Amino acid sequence: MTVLKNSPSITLPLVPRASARGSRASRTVVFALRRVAVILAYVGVALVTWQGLVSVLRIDPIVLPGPIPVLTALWNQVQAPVVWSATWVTFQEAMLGFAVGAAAGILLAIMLAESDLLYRLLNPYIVAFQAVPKVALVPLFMIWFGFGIWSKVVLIAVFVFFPVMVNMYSGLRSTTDEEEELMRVSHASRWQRLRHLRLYKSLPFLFAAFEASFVLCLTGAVFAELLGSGTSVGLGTMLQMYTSRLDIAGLFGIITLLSLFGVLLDGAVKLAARYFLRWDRPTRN
Amino acid sequence: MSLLTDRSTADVARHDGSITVNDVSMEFKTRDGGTIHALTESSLTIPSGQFVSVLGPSGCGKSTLLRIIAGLADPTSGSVLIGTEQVSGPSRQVGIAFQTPSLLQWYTVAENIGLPAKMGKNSNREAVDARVEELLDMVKLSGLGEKYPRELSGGMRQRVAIARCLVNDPAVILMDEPFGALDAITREYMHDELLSIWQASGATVFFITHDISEAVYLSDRVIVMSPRPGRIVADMTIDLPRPRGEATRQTPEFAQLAAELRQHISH
Repeated sequence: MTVLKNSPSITLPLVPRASARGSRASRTVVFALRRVAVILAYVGVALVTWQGLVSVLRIDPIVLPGPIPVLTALWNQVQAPVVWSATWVTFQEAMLGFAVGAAAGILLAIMLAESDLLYRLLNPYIVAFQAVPKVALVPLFMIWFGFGIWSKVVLIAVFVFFPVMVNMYSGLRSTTDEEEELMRVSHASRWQRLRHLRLYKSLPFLFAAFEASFVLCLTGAVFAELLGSGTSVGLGTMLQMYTSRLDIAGLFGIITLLSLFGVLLDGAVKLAARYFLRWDRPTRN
Repeated sequence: MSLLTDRSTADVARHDGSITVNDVSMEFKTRDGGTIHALTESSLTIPSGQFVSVLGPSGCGKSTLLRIIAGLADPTSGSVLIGTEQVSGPSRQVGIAFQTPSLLQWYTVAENIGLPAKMGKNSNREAVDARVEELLDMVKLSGLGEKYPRELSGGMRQRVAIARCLVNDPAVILMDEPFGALDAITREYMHDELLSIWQASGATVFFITHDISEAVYLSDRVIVMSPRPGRIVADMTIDLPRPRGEATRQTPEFAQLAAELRQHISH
């Protein structure tokens, strides 16, 4: 056998790699623990920095309370039923608004995608309305829909409507010539073409709009509540209550709750997107 | 076998798949006012069950002709008959396979193949499923019905596209360079696959290619077209014996036919 000039004259034993040791289950647990540890580390560093800033710079508690007062307030809030009912109110407003806005956006997009005439007639108006700063409509909606939940729902629906409609329309029209021809040669009716082709093509676009606007629903709900909640007490209302009492720690508590809320909503949309778009992956070739 | 309950009695029996092209021409107007003569008055008669290849360089009008026969485009003048029916739009009697398989990514292989049969009004679900199974066997993809297109190789996807164009048991099969994107080995395998499918179905095949030896190997007859303006310049019968195989490619007759065709193309 030909031996190469620089080959070692002794063979070294193979050292098993770390991943070859232990079972798969124990490795998964280790990975999960590692991730939790990392998150805790990030949170810990943030808390320590926060406390450091407040102490060293001697920040007035009215401007920025330290982590301990905020966490205490948060702890109290989480136990108070009023906070949970306020969360439920805000949640309802956000979800109803989303549902109404998304449904309207999707329906209109389908209509415009199917009828070129309708598109040319309505699109200029839609573009014009899009330019209106929606928040300016809040007082108007209060007059029209009252001070309760519905004026907020309408505002949120208007927020959600435009991105969903525009994206859905683009998605419905994103079919390739070959795909459209496939439908033609199969004698697909308009409805069949929508159902088998266009709706699926529009899903990636639709979920992009959902991801963008889902958390915006929360913003809209809180904003509308700040401008006038009337009978319903939501998280925005609570923000106002804490402000009027100069209970800044409590204010931060609510802000934290809202942020957590936002993270959960965002996670929910991403999960839904993964399910509905499970077929939309890069192909082999 | 009646797949669709809305088929007329005329459809149920195997239709006469002869193609008659009568003086068909196609002109396109360009943006600067000029005219492109994609196809000038061309006529062609293809008897039912014949395998015809159409050869020619880009721009010679072969794809345009295919689309007109398919009913996807209306000719500027002239008409096409399939059997005795004039073509006025896409017909269930015509199955089409393009160079790109265009499979729907969100449906399984089986759902993709069965799709054309499920359109129109009421279709018999069980009959369609049975037909899909049959076709999966025919294209040697049995057992892969539940896979998604992204899980298949290019050759397999093209086979699915071919199975799909056969689901309605068409009398005419139109193919526009269906093996163009495949590697040479897969392509040769597909040649024999296609020939056995053709023989089993008895359909008329109109096969576009720019590969001379592919045309000679597969067909009964080769039409050569030329561009500017698009027109038929040669119509050659390939009388090589069937069934054809690897040996056929090696015969001197094969080479001679290929050489003759090459002559027609370069003029």
